[in-house]
Amino acid sequence: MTLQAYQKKAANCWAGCKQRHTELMANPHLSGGQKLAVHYFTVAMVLFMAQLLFGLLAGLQFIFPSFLYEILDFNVNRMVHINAMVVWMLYGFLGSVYWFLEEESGVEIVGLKWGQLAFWILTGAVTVVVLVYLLIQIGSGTDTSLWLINEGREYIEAPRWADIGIVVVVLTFFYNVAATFAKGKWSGIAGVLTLDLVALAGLYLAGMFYVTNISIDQYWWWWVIHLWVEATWEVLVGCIMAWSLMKLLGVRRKVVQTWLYIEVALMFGSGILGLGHHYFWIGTPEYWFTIGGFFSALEPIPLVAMVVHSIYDAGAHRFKNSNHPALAWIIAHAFGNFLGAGVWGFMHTLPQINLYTHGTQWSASHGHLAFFGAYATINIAFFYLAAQQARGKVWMGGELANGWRWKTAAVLLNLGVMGMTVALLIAGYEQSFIERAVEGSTWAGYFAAQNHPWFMQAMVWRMVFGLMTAAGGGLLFWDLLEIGKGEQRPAAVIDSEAVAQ
Amino acid sequence: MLIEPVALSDFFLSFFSAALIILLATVYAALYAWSKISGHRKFEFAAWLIYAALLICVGVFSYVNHFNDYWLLLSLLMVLGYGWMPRFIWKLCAATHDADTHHSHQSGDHHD
Amino acid sequence: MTEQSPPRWASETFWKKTAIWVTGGSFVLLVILSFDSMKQISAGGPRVPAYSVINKDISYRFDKAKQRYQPTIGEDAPLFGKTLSEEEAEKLVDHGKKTVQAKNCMNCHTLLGNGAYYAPDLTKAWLDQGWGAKESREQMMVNFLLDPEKNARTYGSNRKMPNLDITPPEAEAIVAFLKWMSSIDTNGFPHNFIALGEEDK
Repeated sequence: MTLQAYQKKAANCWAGCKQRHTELMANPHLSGGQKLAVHYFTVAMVLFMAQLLFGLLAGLQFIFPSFLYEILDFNVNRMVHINAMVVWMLYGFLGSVYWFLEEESGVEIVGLKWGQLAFWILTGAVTVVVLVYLLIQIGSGTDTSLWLINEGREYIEAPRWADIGIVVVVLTFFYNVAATFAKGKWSGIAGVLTLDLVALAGLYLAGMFYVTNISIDQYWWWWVIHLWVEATWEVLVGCIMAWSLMKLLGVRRKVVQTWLYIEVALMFGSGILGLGHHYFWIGTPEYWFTIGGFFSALEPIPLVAMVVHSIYDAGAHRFKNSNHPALAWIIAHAFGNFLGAGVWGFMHTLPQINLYTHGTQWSASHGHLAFFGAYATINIAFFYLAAQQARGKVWMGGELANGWRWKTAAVLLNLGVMGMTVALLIAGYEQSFIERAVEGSTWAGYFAAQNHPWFMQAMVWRMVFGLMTAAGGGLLFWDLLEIGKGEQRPAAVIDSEAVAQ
Repeated sequence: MLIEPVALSDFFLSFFSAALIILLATVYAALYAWSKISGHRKFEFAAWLIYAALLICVGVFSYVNHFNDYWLLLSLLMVLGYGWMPRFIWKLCAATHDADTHHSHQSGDHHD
Repeated sequence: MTEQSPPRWASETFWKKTAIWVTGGSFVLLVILSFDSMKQISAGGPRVPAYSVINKDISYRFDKAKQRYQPTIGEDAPLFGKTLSEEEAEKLVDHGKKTVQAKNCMNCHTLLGNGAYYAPDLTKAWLDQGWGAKESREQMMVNFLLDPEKNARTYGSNRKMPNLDITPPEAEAIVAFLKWMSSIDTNGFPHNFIALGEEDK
């Protein structure tokens, strides 16, 4: 294609986006907060695609080490891969909260204009950060590099200027949420959500300073990573789920809120001190062995509780559901969370075995399934709920036009992630065995494990399943843009008694 | 030394028994709940059978992970916790939803 | 609408209070433990040596009493032949740490076992036998960091470290950081690691 052809294509694409945006802002089915939520969801999906793309590039480099060597090195691809993941999850959560804020509080969002401005600032900042990651990549060993280019701390690599921007945006978001609830109805969900957001923002500060001492560095770094992922994010998702259950299945508020509190007690009770399982080998004292080990064994309890509860509900009620894709993704969440966080987590968490599995592909295996099962699935489920509402509360149950698309996307994504997880598990098993136990973690031992046929084949299989996941992701994006268009049947009406206090 | 690491030859046993502990604890919980819902004794029997298997797994896991003195409390915690928790959660479900079902039956208004 | 209220132990208020107490209690405990941990892992404390440890010979040996591997600090062995004061040593290690962050090392390597898994763990990189002999180690490390492509150590994997435009002062600082990091007591991680110079002991 010539340059002009590309320019024309880009112009068409831009016009298409603008057209969609105009349509969105005129959508009569959505409230102001919900329109803002759709903005967040759209960027979340774009970032999800970026996560898949850079995951594929990084995965390929395991098989072909000279691929993009000194152009886009592994560290760059991997950084974009995990950062895109963290940010699209957060975009999904923020969007979901904006989505239900008005219905839950009973009033219009206070300071919506500021929320909208914050969205554009955040999205602009994310774009700049990613461009700097890709084009500048690294700097010299000075404070300036940490402020402007990259902080070089896994998951929270964003340079310091962006950290400050993120805090400002989160504060705006917090203002929207707290002020709206304060003006309207203050419910149990509102209380948990508001406090959880304070914790979420406060914890980020623990990752915003530089220290020379790497033990202290990693000590606080885990406060952000662990206490986000295994505590505050879980509770945030709990709030989103609680609201969805009330809204979609008509479960009574009192029941939902009681269970939200039970969940908070179980999750924070096991999760906060479960932080100890990251403090085995970073220089921290030995008592973390005991604390980390014991609380890690408690972490599966909320998962067991969910199983019992869902069977109880299935027996007590016969729910009619008019959003099959969302329901399918909630089921995927239940299984993915249980396997990824529960089974995969417990297999390598105790110090007696973690001595050998720490810092191997075990963590990658666990990470892929746990993030997907616990968070990606729930975001996708919410995107489908939003799509249903945006298309005018249409039927999205059986006999849906082009229903093959969401089903195929779900199968490809779930099988793909599961396949990658198993491949990485085999690689991790081999690595803990050969590199860690037999060879004692020397560099020669590391490479002996990396060159082992089990490892090499596992990386090929990971690639195969990675491509499957990417295909599923692309199909999902397409489906979300199209599903329910032209559908005339209305969704089943849910008893709204639940929504009233 | 606060811990004695798993022996190289026991790696597989450690991973496998750990995975089974979580899986069996869940299957046990599910079967227990299902026996309550369906009222069939056979599910309760199956639940106990699974629980027995869970006990074996906790035993194997504790053995290969060289649990001694206070680490044995963790084994106890798993045996009692995973056994009792589903029952407690079930009771909690029944108690929290009680007003719920009661209310809907009375008014004949099924909100589902 | 008449409602049967659930028993107290299953009521909303009971669980609300429980959630608050459990969360608050766990958090307070975490804060107390964090104070103690900070005391123990400050540089110069019992578990993380002062930065001037880079003036000494560092090794890693099996400790019979603790039944695990443990860093050991030996005689004088100044890095690059210069004995540094505590302030000078801290400045050098600090420069090294900053460079390690600015060059995004953690997204290929692991440090203390945390990071990415595309390249070897750096926790005990200073002590690795791959450097051949203690006498030539410092220079080999610097040369490697300055031109990793030419001095590639891929062990047949073809995975080469890219050239990260590291300057000679940065390279020396990174070596100082790695030397200091190898002296941290990591509770026996990595296990079974035979340090350079410990082969026949």
